[in-house]
Amino acid sequence: MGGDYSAWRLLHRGWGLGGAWKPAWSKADPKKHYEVVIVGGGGHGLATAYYLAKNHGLHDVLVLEAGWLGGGNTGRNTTIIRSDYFLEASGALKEFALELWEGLSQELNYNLMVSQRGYVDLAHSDGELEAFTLRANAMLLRGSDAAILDRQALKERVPPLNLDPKARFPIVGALLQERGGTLRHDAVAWAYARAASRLGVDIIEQCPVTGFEQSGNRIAAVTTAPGTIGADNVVVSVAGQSSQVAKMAGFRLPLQSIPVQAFVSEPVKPALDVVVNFNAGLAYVGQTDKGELVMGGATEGYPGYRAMGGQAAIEHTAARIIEMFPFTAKMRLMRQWGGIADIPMDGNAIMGATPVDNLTLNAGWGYAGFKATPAVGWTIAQTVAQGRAHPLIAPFALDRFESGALIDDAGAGPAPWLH
Amino acid sequence: MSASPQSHRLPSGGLIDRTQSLSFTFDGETYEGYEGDTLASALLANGVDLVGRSFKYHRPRGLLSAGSEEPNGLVRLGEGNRARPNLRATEIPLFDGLVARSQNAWPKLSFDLGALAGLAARYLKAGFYYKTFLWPAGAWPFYEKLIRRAAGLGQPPCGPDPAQHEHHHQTCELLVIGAGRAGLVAALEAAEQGRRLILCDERAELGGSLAWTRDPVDGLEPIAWWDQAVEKLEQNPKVTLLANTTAFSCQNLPLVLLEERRPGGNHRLWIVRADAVVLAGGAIERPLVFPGNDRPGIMLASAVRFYIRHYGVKPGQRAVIVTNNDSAYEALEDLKSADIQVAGLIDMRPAEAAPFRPDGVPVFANYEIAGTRGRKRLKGLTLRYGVDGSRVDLDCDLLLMSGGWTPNLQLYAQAGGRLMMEPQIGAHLPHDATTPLAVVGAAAGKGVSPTAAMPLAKGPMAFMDFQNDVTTDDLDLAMAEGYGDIEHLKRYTTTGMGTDQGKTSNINALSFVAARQGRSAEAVGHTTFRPPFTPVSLGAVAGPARGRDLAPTRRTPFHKANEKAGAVFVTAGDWLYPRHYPHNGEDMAAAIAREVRNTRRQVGVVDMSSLGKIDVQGPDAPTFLERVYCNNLANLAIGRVRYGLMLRADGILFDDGTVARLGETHFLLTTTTARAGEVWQHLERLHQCHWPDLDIRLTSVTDAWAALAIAGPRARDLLTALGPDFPVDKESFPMASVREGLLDGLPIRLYRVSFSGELGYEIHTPAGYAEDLWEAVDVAGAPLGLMPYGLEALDVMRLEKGHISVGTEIDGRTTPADLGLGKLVSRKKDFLGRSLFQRPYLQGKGRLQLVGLQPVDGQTVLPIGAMITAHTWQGTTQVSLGYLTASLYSPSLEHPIALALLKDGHDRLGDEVWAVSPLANQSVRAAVVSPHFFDPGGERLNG
Amino acid sequence: MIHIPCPWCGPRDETEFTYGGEAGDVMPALDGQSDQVAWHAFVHLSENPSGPVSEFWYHGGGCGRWLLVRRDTASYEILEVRDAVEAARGPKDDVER
Repeated sequence: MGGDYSAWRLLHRGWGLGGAWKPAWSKADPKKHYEVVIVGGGGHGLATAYYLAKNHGLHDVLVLEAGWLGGGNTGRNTTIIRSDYFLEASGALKEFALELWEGLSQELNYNLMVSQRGYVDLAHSDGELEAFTLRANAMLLRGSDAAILDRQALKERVPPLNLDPKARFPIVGALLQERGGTLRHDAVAWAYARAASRLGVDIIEQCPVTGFEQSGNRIAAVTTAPGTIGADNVVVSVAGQSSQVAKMAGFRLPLQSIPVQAFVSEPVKPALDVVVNFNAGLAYVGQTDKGELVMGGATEGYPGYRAMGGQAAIEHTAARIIEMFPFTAKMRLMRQWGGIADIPMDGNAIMGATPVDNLTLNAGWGYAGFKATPAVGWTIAQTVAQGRAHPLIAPFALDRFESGALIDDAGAGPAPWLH
Repeated sequence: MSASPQSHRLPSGGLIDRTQSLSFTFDGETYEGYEGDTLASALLANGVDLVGRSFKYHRPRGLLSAGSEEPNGLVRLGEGNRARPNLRATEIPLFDGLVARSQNAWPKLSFDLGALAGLAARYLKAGFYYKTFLWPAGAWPFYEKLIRRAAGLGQPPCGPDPAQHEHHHQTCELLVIGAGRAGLVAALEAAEQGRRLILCDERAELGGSLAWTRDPVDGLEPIAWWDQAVEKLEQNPKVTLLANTTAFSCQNLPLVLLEERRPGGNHRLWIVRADAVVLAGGAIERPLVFPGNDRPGIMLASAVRFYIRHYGVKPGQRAVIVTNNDSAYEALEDLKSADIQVAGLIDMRPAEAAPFRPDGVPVFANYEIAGTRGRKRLKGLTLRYGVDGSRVDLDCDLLLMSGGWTPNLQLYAQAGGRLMMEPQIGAHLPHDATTPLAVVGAAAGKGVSPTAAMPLAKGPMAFMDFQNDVTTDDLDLAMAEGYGDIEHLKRYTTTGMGTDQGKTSNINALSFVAARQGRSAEAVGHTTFRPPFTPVSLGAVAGPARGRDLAPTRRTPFHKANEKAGAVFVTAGDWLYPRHYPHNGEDMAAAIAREVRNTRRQVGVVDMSSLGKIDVQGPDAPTFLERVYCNNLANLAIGRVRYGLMLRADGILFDDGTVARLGETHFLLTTTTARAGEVWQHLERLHQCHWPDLDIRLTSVTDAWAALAIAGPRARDLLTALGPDFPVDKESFPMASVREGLLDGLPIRLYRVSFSGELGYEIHTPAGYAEDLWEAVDVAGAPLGLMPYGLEALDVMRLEKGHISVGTEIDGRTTPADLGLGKLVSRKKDFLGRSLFQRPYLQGKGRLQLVGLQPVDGQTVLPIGAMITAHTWQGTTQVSLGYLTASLYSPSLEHPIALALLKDGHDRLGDEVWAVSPLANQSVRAAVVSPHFFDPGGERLNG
Repeated sequence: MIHIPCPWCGPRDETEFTYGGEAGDVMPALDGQSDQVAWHAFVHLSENPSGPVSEFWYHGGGCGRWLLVRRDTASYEILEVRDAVEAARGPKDDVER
């Protein structure tokens, strides 16, 4: 359906030849029963559906989305991809994601505008730079890419950066991941939806799941407004609503939902060719292909389900962006928005088995979820298809909080609002 | 049209001050305008039609509007460091010497090569970039560069911002947003009741549509009424009037954010907490959507009236009006007054809908516009009759269009107000105009002309969103491709995502989509209204937190003394801390080595004031401390001090420090500098939230006490020389003692503890005595070879001793057992963290444990930030066995040492491993040793 | 931006406060029993509701007291604020989950 996307077809159809463009994904009528029902039509859920069909030949798959596809955190993030994490489990999964991103536009036949323009993490003290050096070595050891920039190298790589040595948080160097970068976030949901739909996956939008019909320790069916849909396996991938859906299934999760804000400036001609992160108080900035500067910061610091935030966080972030790039003081903030980040008690995601036998959970991605999308889809699909956790996500099991096998990159402990 | 001086200024009229002539330049040409003009009105007065190029197709564009909804007239204002892009000409008050440039055109505005994109428009429809640039694989970065250069609007600003921005926090009883007629009425009423209020308006003058409407108010001419109202308010001391001030965020009511634009680009952010908010934001006229609706000379009808009446500008010679509602008929009188010929009035509604039959003006009822002519200025139109499709051509250089009115409800919606579609006006109205804020006037739909439903436009280049070049074809294509949800449409076509925030496009797009999908506008819904209402300066948002003021800086009570002693300072967290004290010509490494040697051989002094200090008193203090520290404290005698370890509730090591017992029920705790604030909160929380029955008082005394440590073989000599009023010999004041007393007449608390591993004392004195204490130590120490040492030397010495530190070994993942302190953890008592500390994984095999490393060759410093592996680095992936937390050349031992967290490290003493740095392409063979490198027996410490 | 009516200081901006977690399960006693299940639930599991919830907030920029705040996480309305000590000492029913 619809045909492949290519410059040739674009030219062809520009002249009204060879038919019209077809819907990217079809609107399905639900069947009575599916092998796999995926709750949540964001990037993660749609990627899971795609890889179930593509890698495991499971086509009897339904994706249920409460709103519009990609309307959660997939459509509300700062579009950054990178794998510069220190801890092995954390880094390895994101590295796998980065490898998948690198070929994804071709694989999905949809230009995701993957732009590996580099991600620069600024160090504000020699101690911090030493920690970055360690992180870079950890990344290189696991086969990723990393470099350490001194002030001179930084000046060359990021010319507009304010390197005033007398600054309140002077910049002494940086960790650079050249393969890090940005992409077109909305397109990720659309591209996976299109690809999954072409492989026979059913997608239903505007269809919230209202409950689970359980029999024994299994979910027999999911209930929705149009009716009950039977399922052999259920995958829950509902960032921002994880606790609510878990509650329907009868268990509590070790996470809290905390808003994170981001904002964009008015578009200008190319001003910044990398994504840069300021670590003293967290603020990061990149530029979209359209020309807007995309800026973000830390969480709001307390839980909430309003996809917006307070003035204090915006002020804090804006001040740091200006400190890095003084010219931005003369730009204007055009749009601000928020997303709800589900942040677990050690700051890392929760994936795999749950107290309910046939319910596979993918939750707690905090504000790292977007960059992990393809790897999450791939590994959760394999986990469901083979009935045991993919090795890359085994460390992210829910029971790690009871066993103590934590994955705490920030070392901030069981206080999600500090991660 | 020629650009002779103010060729398009009417001989009289308008609210401008014709005695104040102002000179300005646009794209290098010099023009004149008047005080009271905006850049937009001054450009029109000079016959400048072409003000910008559109985003995608680089279409020539003129001014559409006269207000903040302007999508086209974006300019770069100012030069050099003061230049700011993307400002709307309609919002820039003219001043003498103003310099503005057009944007997004190359080589120049009138001849823009970017317009070639328009020729390829049929390929560049919505989402074209998702479907192409896929071949060859890997070529996207090349395409991307081209796309980035073509996209964007203005050039980015450069250099720092010379302007000053401030934040102004204000409360008021009433905030009125919008100072048109409805806003003025609301303000006058409240002022009469004696309420303290703020009235703000985004325009340079208050008054809104009073400047150009004709209906009398309270029997007065609008302008006369307005003058009187403003005067009344100005004279009321409880009223603050803010012009040039946009209320841009209501999402956190009762907090409202205003941006006041002040001369010179200096902005003031008003953070207003209002008891009540009245939204009197008026309504914005909508464009009509028809092929070629974007040519310069096609304007909103109200904007034309505004330019004529307010600015005395004649925007064209021969006009046509096109409308689907009655309001545009009122423009006839204004056109006549400006001596603008009217070639026709197109009423898209059936003939009987017309409010009146205008004299001498051909009326085309039930017609629509099928096309327009004129490249850089409108030259004429083609009309199509709704009944038989017959066509009529009209020549004109000005088209006034009115597609109805959209109440300005963005702020209402931001505040959580629900919108409902009112078919009568073809736009949203508040579901309840009293909550969450009061909506009045045109914003609430008062006096807004009923509007006929918009016919569906067909044909190319019928623009929905002018700035982002979104046409009806784009929306159709997006819907055909399944992006039918209004949010998908917005994101796929970018309609409404420009700097004008879709003010003129959103409702049109919504109505269009609803009609195409055969659904009600209610069912289609609307996209979320997000702040800001209009773009707001990032500098103003950040405010005065810049440079050194980005965050507060804490200085220790010894700061001046440290300065005098020649300290080089470093920012460590909140603190400005002495890093080292270089002698003449010394580099940092040499200074650190000297400071370490001097301390180990003679005596050194270090500022320890930033340590957290907490005073605990009360009968239950021993119980409290037993619970919060994991090591045993029950037998701590009065006058003794003990090392203490605190766990988090989940059993992970939280902080280390000392616990000193000054009395039966009086303790003093010290914490690390890094965790001082967190520990304080943690203890307060445990007491207040969980153990309120414990009778204790906690007091943070961090800032109340200055602290320094003297350390080295001669520390006791120095202490004795300082004249304590109590004995300090080895027997009277042994290791781990604490007491209060006088030193050189200064009140002190003396601790015998050591972080450096030398015989050492910590001397605490009330902060006010800090300089006297330093001076006394300095004088008494001089004959003993005393030298100050800084943070770096302290770190070297703690590393030589294998003492742990927050951030490196206490990293939020390790337990006391991991760090070789398992023996300290009490097995007799219960304490916070004990239960979860016993979780299997925290007790089992495979933990990263603290060890020392030494190069096998005895001389190669292990690479900073090295990983530990079983094999040398060969450029291929390897399993990590752990990592280094610190590595340096020990000046005391004269060989390199390192601390590391090694998998099952405690079982591997004597093994050899590789410390590898792929970054440095270096692998160093290292022996696993005890982390206590220097004086492991503690003889010096206890000496 | 929340405004919290501190029982000691009056209504104050959220920037003066620090969030301190859900006031959900009661902290298990330190009585040597070391009930790991109870401690796990207390430390890790959260209700995380979209709606009213009791939480601890620290008024570090004011009185230095920990407060028990009942807040709606959907509307951000502050429903009730009490000093944590008073709340903890009061009848058990008053300590809402």
